[in-house]
Parts: sequence; C-alpha cells; structure tokens
Amino acid sequence: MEKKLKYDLNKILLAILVSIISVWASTSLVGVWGWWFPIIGGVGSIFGLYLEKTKILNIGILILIASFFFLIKDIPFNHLNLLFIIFMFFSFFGLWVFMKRELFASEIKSDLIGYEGIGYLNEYKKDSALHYLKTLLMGLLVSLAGGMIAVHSFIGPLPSGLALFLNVFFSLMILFGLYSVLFLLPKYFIAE
Amino acid sequence: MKSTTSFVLFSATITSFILGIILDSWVFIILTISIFSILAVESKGALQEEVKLKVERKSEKMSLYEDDEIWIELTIKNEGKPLNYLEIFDSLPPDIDIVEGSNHHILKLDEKEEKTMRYKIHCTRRGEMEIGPVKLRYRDPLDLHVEEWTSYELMDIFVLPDIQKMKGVNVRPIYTKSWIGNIKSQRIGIGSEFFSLREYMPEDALKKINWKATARFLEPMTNEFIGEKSGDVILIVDGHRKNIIGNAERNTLDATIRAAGTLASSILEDRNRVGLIVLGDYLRWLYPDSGRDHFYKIMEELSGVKEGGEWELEDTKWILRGFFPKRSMVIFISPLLSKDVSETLLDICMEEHNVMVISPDPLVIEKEIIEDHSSLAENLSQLDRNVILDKLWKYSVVVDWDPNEPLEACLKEVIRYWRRS
Repeated sequence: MEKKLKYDLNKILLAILVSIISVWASTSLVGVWGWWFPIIGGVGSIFGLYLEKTKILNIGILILIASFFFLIKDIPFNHLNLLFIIFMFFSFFGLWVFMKRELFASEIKSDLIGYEGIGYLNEYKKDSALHYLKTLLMGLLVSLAGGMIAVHSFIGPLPSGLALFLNVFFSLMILFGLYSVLFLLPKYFIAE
Repeated sequence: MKSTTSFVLFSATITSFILGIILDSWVFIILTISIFSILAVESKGALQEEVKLKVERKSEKMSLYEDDEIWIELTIKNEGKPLNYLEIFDSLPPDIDIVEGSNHHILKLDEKEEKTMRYKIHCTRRGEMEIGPVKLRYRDPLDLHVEEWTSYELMDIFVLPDIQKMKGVNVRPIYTKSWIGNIKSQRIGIGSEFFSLREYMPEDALKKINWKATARFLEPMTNEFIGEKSGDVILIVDGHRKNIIGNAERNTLDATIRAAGTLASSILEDRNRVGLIVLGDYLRWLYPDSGRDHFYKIMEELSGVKEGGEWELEDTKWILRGFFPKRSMVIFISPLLSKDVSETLLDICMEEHNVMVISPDPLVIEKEIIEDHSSLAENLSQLDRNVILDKLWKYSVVVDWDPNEPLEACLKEVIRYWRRS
C-alpha cells in the first residue's frame, strides 16, 4: 500500500510540475493568438501519464514544446531570453523523460505480484533519476555554451539565411570539438 | 541500434533547424543546439562492447500437478562490461500464471555480478510446458539506444494431470503373475496369510517352523502361506477426436486422462505392473512396469496427450498381441461416443485378457457447457449410451462414471456388484 502510494505521489508531483510549466508557458504568451496551446499539451501529457499511454504522453509534450517555441519565435535576441529559452526547453525535456520513466516503471510494476524483486525496480528508479539529472545538467551546460557562442557571434537581426546556416554550422563544429575533448579523448588515457 | 526516440529527437533537430532558417528565428536555432546537445551527451549511453551474459534457469522440481505452484529462478551473470539498464523478460506459455514475483525486470549488472530473479508460477492445464526463451533488452534511460537479443535457455516442465487418491478400492487383475504383490492367489507361496501346516523339509527356513505344532505332533512342522502375487494392467486411453466433447477447460479427454492417472497410481501402489496405450495424436505405449519412476513415466505420457483422429481401439489389438504380456487386465477408458467397440473388446477378451471399461459420462459434461439443452435429445443420447454399456457388460466390467464424482466411489460400487455376480 505504501509503495503504491509512493508511485502515485510521483505521478501527482509530475502532473503538478507539468501543470505549472504549461500554465507558466501560457501566461507568458497572453495576448498572443494560441496562448492556450501549451495548456492543451500539458493536459494531454497528464492524461498520457495517468492512462499509461506513451503515445498520448509524447504527443502532449510535443504539442507543449512546439506551441511554446512557435509562439515565442519573435522575442528579442539577448542573454536573458537565451537563458529563458534554454531553461524552458530543459524543463520540458526533463519532465518528459521523468514521465516516460514513470510509465516504464509502471509497466514493470504491473507485471510484479507481491514484493519479490521490487528491489530491482527501486534500484532502477534511483539510478535512472541520477542519470537523467547528470544528462540534463551536461546538456544544459553544452547548450548554454553553444547558445553563448551564437549570441556572441552576432547581435541584432540575422543578415541572411546563408549567414545563419554558416553560423550554426560553425557553432555545431565548436560544440563537437568540445564534446570530443570532454567525452572521447579521456577514453584514450584511461587504462583498460 | 538507435531507438524511435532518438530518431524523433534527430528529426526534431533537423526540423527546428529548417524552421529557424525559414522563419528567420533564433529561438529555433537555440532549440536545435539544445536537442543536439542532449543527443551528443547521451551518445555515450550506447553499448560500446559486446555483451557477455550467462543465463541459467532453475526450478525446485521439473514436474507438478495441475493447480500446483512452483518457484522458477532465473540467474543472470554479467561476464562482460557493466550493464546499467538491462530489461529481462522470461517468456511463459499462456496456460501458466504468475502468482508471485515477476518474469519481467530491469537490472543493473556490474562486471562479474550475478543477479537472480524469482517468480512463482501456477499451472492450470496439464501438458508439457516450455519456459523460455529469455528476451533481453538494453536501453539507456533516455531510450535513445536500444539493443535486443534472445537467450535460448529453455526449460520443459511437465504439468501432470490431477489425480485422486483411492484408499478404499483396489482394481486388481484376475490373472496373477509369478512376482510378489498384494493379490492373494490360489496357490501356496510367499505371503503373510496362514494357509496350512506341513512336515518340515530340510530346505525350510527356521523361522517358518511352527513350534507349537511341532510340540503337539512331536515332529517338526512348517507353516504354509497363501501366495501373494501381482498382475499386469494395461490402461488404454481413448483420445480420438470423435470421443471428445467439451471446451478447453472442461472436456471428456481431461476426464479420461485423470481417470487413467488415478488408476495408474492406485494399481502401482498395489504392487502390480501397469502398461499404457494412448490413442491420441500419436499411438504411444509404455510396456508394463512397476515402481515410482514408472508412475512418473506414465504421468508424463498422459500429460502430453492430444486429441487425434487416426488411431482407434482396433489398432491396439496388434500392439497387445505383439508387445504386451498375455493374461493381463485391460482397462479401456473412453466416453464411448465414436463407434461400437464391443467387437474389438470381445476380440481382446478372446486373447485371454480380462477387460474393464471406464466411461466418463459425456452427457454430464455436455450439460455443463450447453446452457439450453433439449431434454428429448438428452434422453435419446442416454438411451443410446445405456444400450452400448449393456452390450459391453456381457464380457467386461463397465463403470459408468460421472466425472463430477470421485472415481473411487463409482468403482467401489461396480466392483462390489461384479464380485457378487
């Protein structure tokens, strides 16, 4: 009973966070046509979480992210807005992966009768939570670095599509270089 | 292998990049960078080396009765690099239910680490059940990289038909053989029941000397006992398609098999030899033998019986003649629905076998599964059945058995009547 309650609490917590973020996304868009799209996406993803349907959850989150980013596509390009957008993206993404983990854990839990082997599931939940946090933090740092490079490459309206393309291309190259240094090179120095 | 999620994220990266260029929006470009950063960071989650796993399955016993439960243990040992998220699914046949634990887990396995998952299964139907193969899937928590493989670690479990213990009735062959058993024969021999006294012979054992009689007659006297022998019983199980009425849960074949199992257990406990002939999808037989191992052989054969349409009672005549001992008791277990078997049974009787027919009543089963049955049709079927049973009574003992009642009670009544007559 306690375990069941704990799983339900996880879901309730995630649902509350999705509601907060989608309402926040909607309120930041008040006045723009389609401000209610993030709320629709949020409600869809909460339904997906409770009905344990991965497809509904994915579609809900996709609507939430896409509508939010589409509706704020014209906001001015500055450091503060860059941080705001990157944090919003990682909040959405983090919620999505945690909700997906909850669905997967529910699937394993539904096959489990009694408490024989529940330790493995709890171990997975603990490990995966740490893994998500680590991945999200690393991703956040890398995208902040990439965003900063983009901000400092040009300020103001974009001159042309070609310049933008080249800019992004070089930014990604720099990111790839960073990634190589951070993840690939250390492997050569670690003895097997 | 990349998963659907990684494909979706990669597509989202490209789409947002194209949208950024088309809409001339920096927001989508930042979105591209963010998704790309996640893909880049999570790329280390892919399996770098070959996975080396050793999978073993164990069970406390390899055979169990219907409605019994057993624990299955699946041990997975990692002989390669650490594996963090290994999903394991042990495949089970549909007739097996899990009552405790699970056959589906996600494990974290360090190098050389061994983990065991246990689950208790409940088997509802008789048969040979194959457990396995084990399906394994590695997936990183973000579900971007997925690797699937199968371990063909299989285990066969025999779910034996449920049997009843018969304490108060013994089905005993009329003809006895030379080996010792529990049946009192008409001859002097090894046994426990006193028969008579005779003069002492030099080869007699000292413990056989009746000292009181020796004192009375003033010469050594020896006890003689009634010889206790055993006989051979051959069970013929009818699995012909035409003789099967009912559905998957309740049918005449299952009743026939339970009766055969019950009889085999009781007759073997009485120290007789039991042989088996099964007329099912194949014609199978087991030569008469005794002992616990032979009982399990019979039960394993019975657990795997499936209906067939090729073999009939007539086909057993050449097996009985060629392979089975003469002067045995033949017990034919059949609902007697297909065709008249009286002539074949008469032929079997003519070959010095004594015959018993045990017939699970198909009308009882039919009434249970059909809601609106016609009473006229039922009466006609009952009349037909009575005619067949009466015909068989002329040269065999016939047991008209209601499968809802214990076989022992029915047999007791019939055997008492038969012995009197």
